[in-house]
Amino acid sequence: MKNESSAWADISSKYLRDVERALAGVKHPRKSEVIEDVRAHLDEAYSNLPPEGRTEEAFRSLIEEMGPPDDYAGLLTDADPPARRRRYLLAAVICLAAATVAAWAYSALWGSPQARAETLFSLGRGFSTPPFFSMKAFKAIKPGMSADDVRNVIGCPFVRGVWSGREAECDWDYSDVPFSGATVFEKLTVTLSRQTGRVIRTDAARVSIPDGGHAPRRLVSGPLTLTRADSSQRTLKPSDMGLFLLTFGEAGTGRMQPRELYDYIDRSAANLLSASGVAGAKVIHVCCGVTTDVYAPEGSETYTGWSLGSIPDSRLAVYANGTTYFVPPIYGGLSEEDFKQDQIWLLRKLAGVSH
Amino acid sequence: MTLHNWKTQLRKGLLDLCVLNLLSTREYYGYDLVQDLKTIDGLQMREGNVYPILGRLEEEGLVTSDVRRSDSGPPRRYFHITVAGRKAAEAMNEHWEEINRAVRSAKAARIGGAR
Repeated sequence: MKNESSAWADISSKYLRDVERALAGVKHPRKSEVIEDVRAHLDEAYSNLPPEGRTEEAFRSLIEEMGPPDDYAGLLTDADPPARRRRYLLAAVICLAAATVAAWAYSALWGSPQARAETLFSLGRGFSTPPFFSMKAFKAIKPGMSADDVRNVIGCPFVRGVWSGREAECDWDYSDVPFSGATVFEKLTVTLSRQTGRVIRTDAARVSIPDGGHAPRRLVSGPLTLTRADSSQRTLKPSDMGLFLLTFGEAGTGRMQPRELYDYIDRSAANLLSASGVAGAKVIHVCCGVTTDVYAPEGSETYTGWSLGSIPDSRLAVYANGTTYFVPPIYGGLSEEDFKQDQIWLLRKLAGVSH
Repeated sequence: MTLHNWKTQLRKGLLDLCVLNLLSTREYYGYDLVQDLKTIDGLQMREGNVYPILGRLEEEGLVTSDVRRSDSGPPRRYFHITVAGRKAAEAMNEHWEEINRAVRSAKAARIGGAR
């Protein structure tokens, strides 16, 4: 009887040979990469099988799930064999009619505010899930990974802090706080060494909030309406192209006068865009503080309110593709410099600039 | 055309859109992307389908990729959406919604006419 690894090697090699054979007549620059990707996928699928599940039956099931090797050529080139063209054309027309079914599915998924909030992330202290985060990806974070590795896998944290007695460490908090009324949430933390900048450990703990005393989630997708001091409005829409860098300030509350604050914010935004290498982003200032004197630096747009209400703990946000992404706020005695890499990472990510 | 063929063609067309929409949310490596695609009801994709699609989208400049080491196995190729990819996804989503609206209103008109 063959041992399991040799049985898997036989079955997976045969599938790869069949894929290679199916692609033999295809001239495409990515062909070899596709085959390598399929090989890596098979390796990972095998490694994810528990030892007791490594049977020939399970291997054949994995191969079955990959689909017929003959499908690869059509998907890679998007070219239909001549004999099928008319059939595909007809199918395309009928696909339009099929949109009713898909519309129903789409509506079911995105139609209710609660469903959308479950699938998106929101903002502010104690609110939500950061962009690009998933529980599965969180589990992939391992000790020794760099800060950049962590960001590339699960994005920037929502909150980070250095705690008394643990000054050599910094906690990146990715906690996913539930809807208002729930009394338990998952506290997800990645702890990095401040000296090496590498992950020391991760921690997932269930935290009880007996009084449910946290704010509800808020939606941050869709149009964003900005209000000027004269009550006129501008709405950023999902169809608007490019990035909008939103800054938030509380002028008139005694901390800074509007001119001083907005000159500072304007310089900071320009510096951030320059450091990110992201050209063409539009800077928009939102001043939600108590003020009657709104000062707009030359060439900038300043508003006194926005449709998400009060200003977020995060003092920077990026509106892109219909979603408002919040740049992690500054907490726990950390400096602005500590967050610069997050800000640059998010801007570059949304602009599609390679890291 | 059989219902089976029709469903196959519909899924094929939607796979590109679903891949771009998922990559709009974060970067993925292939296996990870497949796991999330499999959770989309009705798509019923075969796991191998995603790789030729990613290869084509990369060649078209809609996604890029880079290979990184992995602590749990061989290096992984991570895929990212490009600016052009985001624009394409946006246009595809808008077109998709236009079609939905059109089909819904056609359906509503038909129901109204039947009264």
